[in-house]
Amino acid sequence: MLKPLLPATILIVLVAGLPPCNAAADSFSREYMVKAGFIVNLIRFTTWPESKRPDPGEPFRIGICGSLPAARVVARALSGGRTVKGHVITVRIADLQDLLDSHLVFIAGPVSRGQQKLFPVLHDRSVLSVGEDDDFLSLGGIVNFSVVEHRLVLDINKAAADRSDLSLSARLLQVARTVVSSYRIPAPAEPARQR
Amino acid sequence: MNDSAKFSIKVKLVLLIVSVTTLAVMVAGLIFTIRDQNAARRELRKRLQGTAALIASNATAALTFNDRDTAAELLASVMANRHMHVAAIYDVKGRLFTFRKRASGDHAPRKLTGPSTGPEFENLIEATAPIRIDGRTIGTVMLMADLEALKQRTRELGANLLFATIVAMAVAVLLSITLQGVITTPLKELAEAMKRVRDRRDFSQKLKVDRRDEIGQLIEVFNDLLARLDEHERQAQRHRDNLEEEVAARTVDLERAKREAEAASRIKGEFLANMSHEIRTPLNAIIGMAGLAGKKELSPDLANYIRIINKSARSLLGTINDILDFSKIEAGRMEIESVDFRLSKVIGDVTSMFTEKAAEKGIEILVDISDTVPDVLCGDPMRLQQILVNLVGNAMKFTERGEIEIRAVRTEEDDSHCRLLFSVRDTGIGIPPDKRGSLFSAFTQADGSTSRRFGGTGLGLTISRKLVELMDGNIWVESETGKGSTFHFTAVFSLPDEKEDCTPDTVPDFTGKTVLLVEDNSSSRAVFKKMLESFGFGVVACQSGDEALKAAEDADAGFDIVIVDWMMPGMDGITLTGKLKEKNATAASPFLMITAFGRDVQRREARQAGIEHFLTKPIKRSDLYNAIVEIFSTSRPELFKVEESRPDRSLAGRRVLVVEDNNINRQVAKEILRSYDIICDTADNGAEAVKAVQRQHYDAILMDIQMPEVDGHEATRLIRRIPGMGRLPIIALTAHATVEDRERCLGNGMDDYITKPIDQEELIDCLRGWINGRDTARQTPHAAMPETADNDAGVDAPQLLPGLDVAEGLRRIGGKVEIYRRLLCAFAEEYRDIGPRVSELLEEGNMQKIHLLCHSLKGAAGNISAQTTCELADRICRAATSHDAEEIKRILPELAAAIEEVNAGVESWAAA
Repeated sequence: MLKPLLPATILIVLVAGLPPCNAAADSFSREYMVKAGFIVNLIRFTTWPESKRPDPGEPFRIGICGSLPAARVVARALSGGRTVKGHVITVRIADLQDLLDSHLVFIAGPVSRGQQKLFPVLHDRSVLSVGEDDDFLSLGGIVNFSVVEHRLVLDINKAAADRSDLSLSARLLQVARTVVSSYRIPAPAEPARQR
Repeated sequence: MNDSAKFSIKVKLVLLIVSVTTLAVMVAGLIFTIRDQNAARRELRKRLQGTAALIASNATAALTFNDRDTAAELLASVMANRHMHVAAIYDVKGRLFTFRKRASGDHAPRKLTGPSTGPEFENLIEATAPIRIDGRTIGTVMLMADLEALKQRTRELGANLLFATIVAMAVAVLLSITLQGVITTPLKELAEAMKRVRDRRDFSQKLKVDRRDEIGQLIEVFNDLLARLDEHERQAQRHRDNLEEEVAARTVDLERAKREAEAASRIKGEFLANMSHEIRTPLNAIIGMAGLAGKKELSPDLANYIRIINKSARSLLGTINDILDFSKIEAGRMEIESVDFRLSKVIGDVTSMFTEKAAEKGIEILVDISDTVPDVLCGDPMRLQQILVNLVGNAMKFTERGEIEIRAVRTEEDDSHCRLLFSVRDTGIGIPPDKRGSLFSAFTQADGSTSRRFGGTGLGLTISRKLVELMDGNIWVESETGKGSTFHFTAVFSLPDEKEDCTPDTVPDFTGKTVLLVEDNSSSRAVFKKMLESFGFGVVACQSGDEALKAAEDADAGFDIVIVDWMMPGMDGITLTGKLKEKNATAASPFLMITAFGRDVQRREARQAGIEHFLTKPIKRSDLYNAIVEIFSTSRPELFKVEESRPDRSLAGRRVLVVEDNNINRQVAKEILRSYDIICDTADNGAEAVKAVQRQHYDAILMDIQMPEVDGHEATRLIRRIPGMGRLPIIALTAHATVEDRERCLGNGMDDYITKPIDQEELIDCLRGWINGRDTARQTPHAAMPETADNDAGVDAPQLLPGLDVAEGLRRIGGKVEIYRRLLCAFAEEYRDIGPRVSELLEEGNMQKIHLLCHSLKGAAGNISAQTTCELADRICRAATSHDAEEIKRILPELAAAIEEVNAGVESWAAA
């Protein structure tokens, strides 16, 4: 899985200004730095409901939970005063239940049972949930990262997004490998591309 | 003509319109096309740009999430456009993210540099659009489309433009062909109208002006021009008409004037002729009667009166002739004859006319005719003589002493003509330079006072000038006041076809012989010397007696002949002769005396001095030659040519009818004829004459022309019709001295022509010629002897007959032996009883008759060359003149004997 990443990933890593590590660590870090970049971009293609988006001058809160090493890489990539949509990004690594007031949460690694239970809350609070578990969408997650042939691809649960009152850009849907219309549906055995 | 002028206006108009139209269409089309192209290009670019922007927008997520497939999908969607060649997406660093390109296209996405939109290259248009997200540029979309659409559009436009142009041209051609008529038709009409005007020369036509454009102006101007031309033409026509009328009128005037002038001229001519006739008739009488009276025994006073009457009458006659000539010249009727004549005779006649006068004034007349001057010429001797007489007369008039020289030289000659220069030089008072110019004008003399002093009409030189001009010559004068004048004139004569050898110029006999010439006058001496040298003589010329004596003493050999002038200052010719006779060199020489005066008294003196030969000045070359020839060829002591024609008896007993209406003229003629012992009958008019010739035989008729009733011409015609009268000599007597008159007379059957006033000698010569000539002609058929005039073979002339110089006698009558013999017979018959007749008269004391008788004897004897008889008769004549009866008695027996001798000789020949 840890294969040399694409130039885009490298690009994102370089942009993040991460220092070089050992080869394995580099591969791991590079993967998550790319995922961090993807996360920021997801913010750009997503529109939050009026009440849930940050007021001007308020930071954009990103919560990271799950596998800690990954969380740290992502957190580090996202920190540093980066702005998106005119808001400074703040990153917090915590348990999911502590991250319910975030605008976006990244659940690194597989989703635990405990986290599964919080998904409806996330929906209610219009939190964009991003994960990297093959069942993430069927559990009610909105955007899931997966690496296919050294490329990071997106799968999107449109139904969950609708449920969360989040508006995903059509262009985002376009680049997604799979767009799932119902989050109750278990994770699909075969990925099917939809337009 | 340049190229543009070659084509008709029609063609030019069509070309102009079509080309302008085409140009306009094409320019408009071109501008439109360019604008359209630009607009299309902008549009294309804008669209491409829009597409690029759309792609960029759509590609945001794909690029953001590094989704090449999606990006490629996007690009594929634009590649559906067939004009799209390349579509590419670059990342933020400009690196190619993904691209699509047309499979057949050669174009590949280039490296992204420069601005987002760049110029098209290789017929491609390029557009780029940035890919943005959240205000940041994360990449670039680039599209490259070809311009095929643009080109297609251009082609379509071009085709449209071409079509539009063709249509426009077609329309323009049609329109211009239709419309050019608007311009060219009136022009053509104008040209046609002009052509009509030109061809018909009808300037009165007007062209219709129904337009106000330039052609209308042209037509107006043309009409104006036509109007002016028409006016001009009318004027010219009027002028022509007027001119014709005027010419006709003037012609009438002129014809009338001409008729009047001709009538006036005719009247003038008739008047002059009548006047001439009227004046000549009394003059004729005066001269004739004076001449007859002069022959009578008269007291010296009466003789002088008669002489003056005669002279004055002749002078008056000359004046009348001058006036008549002048009027003829004025009328342009002067004509020049062309007959053969001898120049020497003309000049001789002139000089002899003035001999007496010259002698009176003591002036010498010299004649110098150059050797080169032919003697026989063809021209008008009368007129030449008139000029010379005029000039010599003038010279004589104005010269008190010295000499008058007549010279003639030839200045040019060709085969048929020669130009002679005559000069008459005198030593008179001369002519002042200011008077010379008007000298030859009518009625002018050098000086009015001169005119009064010397007389003259002043017409002479004018007439001379005109005559000279008629002879193709000119006349001029050189003069030095006080020293004399020289009048020169030239005249052209034709040369007779056959030159008669009249002057035996070269006789070798004289070559080597010498002459002693004594002559005080240098000019005369020079003339003589020249003449003598031309005969071959060696000449010793002396100017005085003393010089001559010295020359005679100095001479080695004797002179063959001595020629002495009579009148010389110091020692005269007679004294000199006496002295020369004593010199050895000249004692035996024959002497030839040259005198200016043919007076018998002087000759007697000369003869006593031993001079036997005389010549009277002026001396002609032929005279001198003949004299010398005779001196050398005979021993005959005397050489007189009978210079004055005395009444002879050769016509005695002939019967002549004088037809003359004027009593006085009749009398004159009668008297003249009677004085020649011619029996004379008279008739008052032509009718009487015709009757008379039928009654009586006449030897000749003298016929006046102007007579009442039947005039001379008519009478002649009538007489000629009478049988046997065809050959009767009829001689016209008329005052009309014109050539036409004479021709008319001869044309009417008359034989000859004599001008009144009648000159005795001329009349007698004429009669003699006709009567004797007729005799010969008439008698020849009846003569016993055959005609010998041309053929003397049958009659031999005896070489010598007693008392006769046969050779000389024959020579005198041209070698006609038969005539000579008849003359001898007649002579013998006539003068057989001369001795008793003279004796008888001598007893009566009628010296006059003796003189007459002996004079005619002398003439007759001279004619037959009975020299002794001639000489003796002459001596008796002279004795009779001086009433020397003793001398006559002394000579008479000798004369009788001489005649007897001649008669014997004649009879012996006749019997032979």
